[in-house]
Amino acid sequence: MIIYLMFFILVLSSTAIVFKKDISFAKLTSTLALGLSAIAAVFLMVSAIREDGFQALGPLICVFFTLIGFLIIWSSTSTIDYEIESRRIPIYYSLILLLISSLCGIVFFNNILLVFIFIELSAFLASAIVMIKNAQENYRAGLKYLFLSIFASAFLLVGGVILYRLAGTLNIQEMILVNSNINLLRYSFIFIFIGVALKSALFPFHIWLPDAHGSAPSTSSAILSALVIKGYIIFFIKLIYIGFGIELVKDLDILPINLVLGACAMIYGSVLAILQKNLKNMIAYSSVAQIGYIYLGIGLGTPLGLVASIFHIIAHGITKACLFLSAGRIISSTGCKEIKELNGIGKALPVTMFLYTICGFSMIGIPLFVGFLSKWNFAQAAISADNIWLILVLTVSSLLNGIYYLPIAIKAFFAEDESKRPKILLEPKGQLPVTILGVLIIITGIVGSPLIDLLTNIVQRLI
Amino acid sequence: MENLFINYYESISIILFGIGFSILLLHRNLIRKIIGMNIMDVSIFLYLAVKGYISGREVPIVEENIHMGLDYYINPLPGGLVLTGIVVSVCMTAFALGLVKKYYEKYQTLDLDDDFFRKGS
Repeated sequence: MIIYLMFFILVLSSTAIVFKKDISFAKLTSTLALGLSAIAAVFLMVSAIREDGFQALGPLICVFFTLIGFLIIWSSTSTIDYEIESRRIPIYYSLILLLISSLCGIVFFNNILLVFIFIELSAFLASAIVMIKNAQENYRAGLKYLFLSIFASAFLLVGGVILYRLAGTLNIQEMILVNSNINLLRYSFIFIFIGVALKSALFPFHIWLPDAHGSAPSTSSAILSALVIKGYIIFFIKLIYIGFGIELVKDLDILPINLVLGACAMIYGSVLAILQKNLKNMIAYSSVAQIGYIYLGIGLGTPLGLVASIFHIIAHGITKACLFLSAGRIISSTGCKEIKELNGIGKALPVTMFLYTICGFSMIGIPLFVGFLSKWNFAQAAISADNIWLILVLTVSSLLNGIYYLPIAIKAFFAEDESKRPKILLEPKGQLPVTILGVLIIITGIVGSPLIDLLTNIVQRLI
Repeated sequence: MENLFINYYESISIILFGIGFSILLLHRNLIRKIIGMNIMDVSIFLYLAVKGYISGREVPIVEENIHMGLDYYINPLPGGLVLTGIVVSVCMTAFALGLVKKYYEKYQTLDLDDDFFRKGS
């Protein structure tokens, strides 16, 4: 029942925001609504773990979505005025609330039809929050995102229909597919895989991501990159492990494709990130690489790999949200969008650049930060699955991450350029949520083992 | 080959899906892309509606005390899926058309440039 309470809070407050059309009311209401739903999600997770660990994956990710969404919205209240037109701000907040509730729907429910409706809903809303900025390249990027989302939805529908014909039920918990036609099952899995890969920007299907995440307002970029693309992956994991069953999926011979595409994405995304000149485009290409890590863990097909993937979903969510919000603060305070303009900016914006550096360390995988723990998990999973070459891919990808994250931080603090002054002084209290995200990165990096134990527990009951 | 003619509804829906797919992917004009998207959706609905129909059976509306047994009714789920899909498709078309209007205002054209789907910005 608590999930319906969450939906009630989010949808009611988004409706109220649309009708009131007042900017400060919108900011306050959306922050409060997300905070309340985060508390509700914690209760949901606790009761799910107590009842049956099997079902706890969805509620756990709901907590993650609402908590990170709460921090992003809180931080956006101080920067959003400089990024989008004031008449669009109330509708923007209501769109974000609806988007987060539909994401919680995707990860929580077990019915394919219901999940399909939530996926369509989130496709609308996600492309709408890209186009909220009234500029040329935003419409271009949003249109591209929308068309590819529609495409992916059609694929998901076809795959779902075939799956329904084979299983005779729409509930993924009740599916028994062991005796069905293996060829049809393979087609269905391929269709669903292509749909999910398009929506979550796996390597050959990533073409919409850098445009959409690079041109959107930085709050939207943070939500899209940290939360939206993760929802579809969680649905995919649930379908593999609860719906099909991992033994059956191994018989279909599709998981190696997952593995190889993930490894390609890790290298390709990092290489293209090095070539970018725009700060936000660079961070967006880094997302392509990080999605590769997640698919790599799924493609291993072992419990350890799955734990590593889910942990990386959370780790990357925290880090990328912090990174995009810091970038947003830099852009709205100084107007610098290009990487070469950032020399010496550390003296003007010390706290923001310090947080950026923490995120960079976490992305590279330096110990004490959450990225290290995540990469450690992947390395362990790769060794236990006898895929030693993956260690090489992981190392190369980490080195490439270092090449594009570190020079910006070094030049920002040590380059001799005294001319940089912030044009707009942002409210310092807007810094607090970004700092909380930075502290979360370090705390999860140092004491992350309870979370890993919890995930291991959930995954063992899933199988 | 004979199977294609016997199950001609399914064959037609697959051909329609291919047509819609290629229009959505290959044409440059945005309005044509939206039409292609609609054809693609309709083909899936046709497939579902055909799969849900069993000749000689009734709509599963059970009145009080008159239950004709399970063999008398069809499965309502495919019909429900089609209805949901139609609603989603209509919303998506309206949203995409509104977006195309904005795109036209900004770029003064309805065609996409060559590398729209090819590379990042």
